[in-house]
Order: sequence, then structure tokens, then C-alpha cells
Amino acid sequence: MGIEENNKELIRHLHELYNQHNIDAANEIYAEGCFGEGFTLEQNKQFEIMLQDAFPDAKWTILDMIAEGDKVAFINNVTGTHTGGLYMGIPPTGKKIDCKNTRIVRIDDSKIIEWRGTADFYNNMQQLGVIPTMREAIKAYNDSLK
Amino acid sequence: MGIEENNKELIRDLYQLYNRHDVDAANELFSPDFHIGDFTREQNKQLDNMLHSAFPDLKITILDMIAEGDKVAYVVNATGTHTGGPCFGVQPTGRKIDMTNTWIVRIVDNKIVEINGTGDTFSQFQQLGVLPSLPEAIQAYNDSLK
Repeated sequence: MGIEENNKELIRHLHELYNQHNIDAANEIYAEGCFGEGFTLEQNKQFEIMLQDAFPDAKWTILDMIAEGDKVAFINNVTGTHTGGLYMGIPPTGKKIDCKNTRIVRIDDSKIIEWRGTADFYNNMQQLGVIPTMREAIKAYNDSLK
Repeated sequence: MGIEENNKELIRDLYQLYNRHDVDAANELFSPDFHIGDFTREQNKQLDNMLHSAFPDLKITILDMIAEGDKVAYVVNATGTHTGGPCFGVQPTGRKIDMTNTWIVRIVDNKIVEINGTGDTFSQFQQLGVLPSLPEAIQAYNDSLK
């Protein structure tokens, strides 16, 4: 198996661990001192603990994945119901989320050492009812100018 | 040059054209069958026209890119100042945007047929002042429960 297939397998394994809600084991796949999107490894772990606690039925699905050399790009989808703890300070809303994240990660020696990409906080927050939909936001803005 | 290098070159060309604000030429790189979600090629062009009109200094930089087979994954950073026309119905705010979007595109016969991924719409609307920041959104939500 080439490096690309090995690295894709690592990303599949990471998502399996997320789906088993095994954050500690998932965290072992990240290298010490790794970072991404302004987060340290420890902050990333705290975020994941918060997410899994807030959405006890959180489920991750890999929608697409490609690899080249030491990098893997993937799109994943997260669904869940906000019936657990606080999420970003928001008390349980009972609402469902369905969000898509897209990342490119760099892997060395079977550990993620760096990640870069985009998380869909916009739909996330909309679905929890914390912020209005884009249409509502634009209408509110336009109304405010009248 | 293999298919992967050809396809990466196409994406580099696409962003060179965007940085010259040549939306018509950029649009030629999309297949007539192109779609992004339920958006067609024509709708995508209209979106590009709106963005380039709203942000006359729009500059897009490719931060990372990998390819495998007929797919290319890349992370792009877009900066610009909202001094031109309306953006999603929002009148010129004079504000700067700085956002990171991550996509996986499929290319057939040197044309982009499909885009999937995540755009950072949340940051964009925050930076235009249409949506509150995450802490502000959460504070507002918490206040509403009192």
C-alpha cells in the first residue's frame, strides 16, 4: 500500500474513532505540537469534547477524499442533535445540525501534523437558531437602512 | 505532464483570471454541465460577477492544493474591500473581508464539472457587519433566554 492509501486509511480510522465517541484515541492520531486553523492540539481536543458532549448522537461521514504525497483532502459531514451539554455557550436547543467541513491535512509517520480548511459554522449556528438564515440576515440589514 | 499536474494548472489559471477580474474568461473554464450544489454555471457566473463588482480589489490566493485522478482539492484565501456594488443585497459597507474557502473540484477534458466543499460564509457576513461575531451571537442568544 502506498503512502497515499496509508494516509487515507488513517483519516478513515480517525472518523471511525469519532463515531465511537473515543476522543482520547482520536487525539492520539494528531502529533504533539500540531496545529490548524488557529487551534492547538489541546484546543482542538477541548472543542471535540464539547461537540461530542453537546451532540451525543454526533455522526461523521466522509463524503469525498483524495490524497497526494503526504497530504489528504477530505469533505466530511457531521449530523447530530443538540440534546447534551452547552455548545459554544449555547444551552441544549434540541435542534439538529447537518454541516459540511472541508480540510487538507498533512501527515507524517501516521500522525496528523497540520490541518487547513474551512468549517461550516454558518449553517451550524443557523441550524441551532442562534443566527438568522442568510435571507433573514439580509432582510434585517436592509430593513435597518430604511 | 500527467492529468493531476494539468488539472492543478487549470485551477491556477482560473484564479489568475479571477485576480484580473476577467469573470467571462474564468467562466469558460467551467463545463456547460457544471454545478455547485443546485447552482448552475450561469448562476455561478452571476455570483462571481456580484463578488467582483462588490469587491473591486478582490484578491484570491491559493494556500494549498493537491490532486488525485480527475479531482483537485485546494484552500483559497480571499481578501477585498466592499466599496463597489451590493453583496448578497448588502449595500457597500467599506469593510474588508478575509476568508478561507476549501473545495474539491472534478475536472473532465480541461473543464470544471463539479465543485464540492465549504465556503466561509460565516466570517464573510461577520466581517461585513451583517452578522454578529460568535461571542456576540452567543451573548445575544443567552440574553434572549432571560
